[in-house]
Amino acid sequence: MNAGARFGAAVLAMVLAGWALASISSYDVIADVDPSRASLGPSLDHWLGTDHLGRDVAWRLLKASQAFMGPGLLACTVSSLPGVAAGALAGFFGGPIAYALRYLATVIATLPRFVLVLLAITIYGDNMWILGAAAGLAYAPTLAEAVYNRIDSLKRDEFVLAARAHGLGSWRILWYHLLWINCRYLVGRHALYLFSYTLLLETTLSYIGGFGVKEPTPSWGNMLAFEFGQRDGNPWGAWAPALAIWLTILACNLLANSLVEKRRA
Amino acid sequence: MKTSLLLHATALATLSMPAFAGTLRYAEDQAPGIVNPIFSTSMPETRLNELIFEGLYTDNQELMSVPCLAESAEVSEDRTEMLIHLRQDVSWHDGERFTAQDVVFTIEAMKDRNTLSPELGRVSWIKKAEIVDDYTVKLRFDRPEARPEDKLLFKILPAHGFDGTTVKRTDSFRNNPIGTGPYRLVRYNDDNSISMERWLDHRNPAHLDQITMREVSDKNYQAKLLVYESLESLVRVLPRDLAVLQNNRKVELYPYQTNSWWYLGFNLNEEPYNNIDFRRAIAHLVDVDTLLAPIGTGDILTGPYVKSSPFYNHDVPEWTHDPDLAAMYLEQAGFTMEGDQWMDGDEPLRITITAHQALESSQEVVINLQSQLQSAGIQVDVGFLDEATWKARVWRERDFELILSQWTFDRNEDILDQFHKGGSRNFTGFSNADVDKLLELARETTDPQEKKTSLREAHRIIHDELPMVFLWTLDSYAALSTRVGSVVIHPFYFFTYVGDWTMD
Amino acid sequence: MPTEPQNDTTALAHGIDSPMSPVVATPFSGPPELPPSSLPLRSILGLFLAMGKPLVSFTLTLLGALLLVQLLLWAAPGDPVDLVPNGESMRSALEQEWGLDKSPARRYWSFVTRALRGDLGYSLTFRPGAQVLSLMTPAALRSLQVLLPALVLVMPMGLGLAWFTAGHTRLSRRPIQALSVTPVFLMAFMVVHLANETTFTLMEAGRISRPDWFALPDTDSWLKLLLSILILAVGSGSLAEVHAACENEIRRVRNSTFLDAAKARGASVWPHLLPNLVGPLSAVASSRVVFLMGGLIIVEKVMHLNGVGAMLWQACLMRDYPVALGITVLAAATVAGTRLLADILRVAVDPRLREIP
Repeated sequence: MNAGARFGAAVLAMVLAGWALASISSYDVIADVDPSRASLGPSLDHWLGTDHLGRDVAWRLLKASQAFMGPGLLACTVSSLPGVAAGALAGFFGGPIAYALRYLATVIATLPRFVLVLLAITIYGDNMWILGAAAGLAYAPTLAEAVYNRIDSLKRDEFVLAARAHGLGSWRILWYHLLWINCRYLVGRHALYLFSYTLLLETTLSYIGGFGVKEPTPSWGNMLAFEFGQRDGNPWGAWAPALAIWLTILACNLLANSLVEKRRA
Repeated sequence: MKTSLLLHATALATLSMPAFAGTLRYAEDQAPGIVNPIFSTSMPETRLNELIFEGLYTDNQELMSVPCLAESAEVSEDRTEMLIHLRQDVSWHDGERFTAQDVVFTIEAMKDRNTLSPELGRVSWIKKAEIVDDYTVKLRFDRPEARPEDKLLFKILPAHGFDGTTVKRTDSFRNNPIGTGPYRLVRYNDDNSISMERWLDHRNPAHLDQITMREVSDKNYQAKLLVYESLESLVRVLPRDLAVLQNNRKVELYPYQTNSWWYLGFNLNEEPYNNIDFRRAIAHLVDVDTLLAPIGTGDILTGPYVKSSPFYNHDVPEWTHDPDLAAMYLEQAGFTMEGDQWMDGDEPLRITITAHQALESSQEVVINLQSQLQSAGIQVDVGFLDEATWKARVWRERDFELILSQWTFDRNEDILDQFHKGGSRNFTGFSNADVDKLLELARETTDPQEKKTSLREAHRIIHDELPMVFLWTLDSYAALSTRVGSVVIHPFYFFTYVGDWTMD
Repeated sequence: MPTEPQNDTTALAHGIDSPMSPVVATPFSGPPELPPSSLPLRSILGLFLAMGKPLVSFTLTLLGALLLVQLLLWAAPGDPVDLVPNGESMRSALEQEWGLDKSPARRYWSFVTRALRGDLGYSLTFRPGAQVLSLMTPAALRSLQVLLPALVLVMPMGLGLAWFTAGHTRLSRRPIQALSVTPVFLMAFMVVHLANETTFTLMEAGRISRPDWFALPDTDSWLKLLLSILILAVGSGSLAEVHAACENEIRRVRNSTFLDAAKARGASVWPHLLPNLVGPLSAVASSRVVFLMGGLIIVEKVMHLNGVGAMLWQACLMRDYPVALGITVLAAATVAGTRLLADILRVAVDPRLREIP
């Protein structure tokens, strides 16, 4: 792993650790309100200070990871399972199945992802799980296409012929040799892109408001919106979530890139 | 809709230049959906209509009704008929003369069942409107009216702008609204702003040449823009921006008293909110002063009127912040205490507070309240709803437990819709026969003293029955650039006296 | 074992091939064959047939996308009339308008035919009573002012950077990625805040006079437009993706044998290099349009641009389904249209695609 990937992995590990910590901790976003200690700077009690309602910024930062972790993982699942399956089946078997699946993928891809997600939230309700599912659905064609291209070009290769000659069935060839051996980094890479995209979606919606995570549940997006424009406020109240968003997305991308390189080596 | 193809050039020309003498730019959270007083449903629309349209009567600076499009009127002895003599020197923005036909048309259009006007209540008390001659209208009422002129503030529309009395939102009038007011709508701009110019043929032309309404949906930005001198006026200043603007030499703050109050409403059709002991407990647990302090200043209230209202009953005491008393009521209501937590049977006691996300500062209040109640041992879930969901769940389905919200009234302060058993805005489901009678009496009576007495009594009963915990009226401030002079603000319509405003 | 490393980002960049046209992302297999010596008529016929496929796929995908949108709406739990805030009061009008009493197939068909005629209905809550088409048109033109330049900008930027970095190590991708990965809303927030505050401080100190673009993003100005275009082109990973795709294509073509052959013959590289790039790059561009449209919504919202993106957001917030659907139809038509253009361009440039089998 190169330096970028190591950095990315480290950041993601921290985010994951923060999420785990937030999930088991007894920090209560509601009870933490205390206007008497509003907008304090960093101190031993509050590592990143407090926001203008007196809530601890650092803890809210950790708690906010719950807002996108679940939906992000859901998106990856919703995207990978049908997406990979569709791409693999279309690539391997070809023919009318391929045409039908590729048509379906094209149709979904004709709607810009954000439009699809926005429509889904509007119609089905404004919660982050719908967001995750819609993001997954919107991304599935990209994943399917990538898998399709890989499998389609590999299926005529010698090692496949050799496997058949050995008497291995089609399904085993498909699922193990083609998908697992050759596609897992590909899928992993796309999963990371999708995860960072879901984070992007969630924070954007929560920042602009109207949709997304609502107070008092913290999200890096709504923390930013809440503290923005606070004069004489604690600057960390806004900068901490901004940095968190940027670093996490960057980490996902760096790590994903390294998966490409690993394959090339 | 006139849209310029040279979008960018137009925008540059009109909006990026600093305001030359006489243009007032003001900000609204959301641009009006439609410029037609029959279909107004939001305050931005109401304020815009104030510039473009006029009514038979208007408010003077002492908030008393004075004739506007009317010149004089006579009310019959039994107060069921009114003969209105209209001004003869009024014309519409397109040059046509204003006549009695326009008045009768407006009233019939609002009453027309196919128009589906949300403002129907403004004319439902008029049984019939008749043209006597070109400049005289006769109105007949369902019941005797004490002061009909107080109810004739609604805006008049031109009969020649429509076909027939069924008015639809899709009518082409929406593209070129015509009124008789001091400003005429010149252009809907592509950036959602609306440009208006003073109408020189008005009988009393205004001083400011141009007014532009700008949509600035980001509340954080509104105050900033005023400081940056990209705007001349803010209709409502957020409490957190008050300190900044107060210190700014180029900005002047104008306090005004709106007839609006905040409340925490119970859904009386749900358990345990139908239990008065539970409601009393909540009333004693809420520390209203602490809730108010972070968001601004104002008066704490005990009933559905503002403190300066003649109907406010000053003898009614406030609910004290008394946790021990609250605990007693909770026990009486059947809840038990386990450690720090109040229990509803085996489950922890949980309540849900719902608020409209666009209500300024509601976030701070709800979060604070949640924290207060939680430390007293009650679990609180919180929901912030957008406009569409609010309308659906609160207005239509009454699907809520507690709501934090606000009511704003015009001068008449008619609370019947909110508290009468059949009231269209009675979200809490409040039903009290005595209050119903008092409210009906107040509407019908022609004796101001009787009206005061009945409404004060209603205030007392409503306070005791506790369908809602009344919170406060918030001191409102408008902010205007110091370049704007002779400013008087109407607490509800804002622009009623804009004709006098000047600018250097 | 696979011989040529399959190039996934190429596949990613190509987006989805229209199902009817030949797969483009095949490993390179040699110099372009000369078309069979033939009458001009054959090649014209081949061209015609080759154009027909993209047109057919355009129509089918657009119809499919419209069907998807309709399904999304009608599959929602509950009565569609309830989805509209004042629905009950307008129930009969809405039922007639949306043809709720008819079968789903007929509903879909009338939706499509009316859309083709330009009748997208009337706004319900956003601008009650206004025709959706007349609301959308000026807003779409405003959006185009940002979208087209952003697309036109991001391609050369990505290509130029890729040309430079293709020969270097992976390290050179990092700074581009680090910048580009920033979410659009964050980038806009920081840029605007910084610009405003710095300018205002200087103004207050008397150092400069009030610039005519002040204050961002309130007043329309060249600077606001320029920043919006730049942020759209660069942010949310846009530039990084284009850069990566271009870099891969350039590497692929640079390393290909036919270039070596051309150089060995002493011929100029460019007539061989460029046509081979046009195909993949036009695919990159057409897929970029889709992603940019998503970013456009956010840029418009944060930079107060009042284009179709911001209108879509507001319509969704106010549950104004006619407007939201109208804009979605526009989006789908634009995406399908750019794909069509890219296909046609590919066919026009690559003789292999015009052969009659």
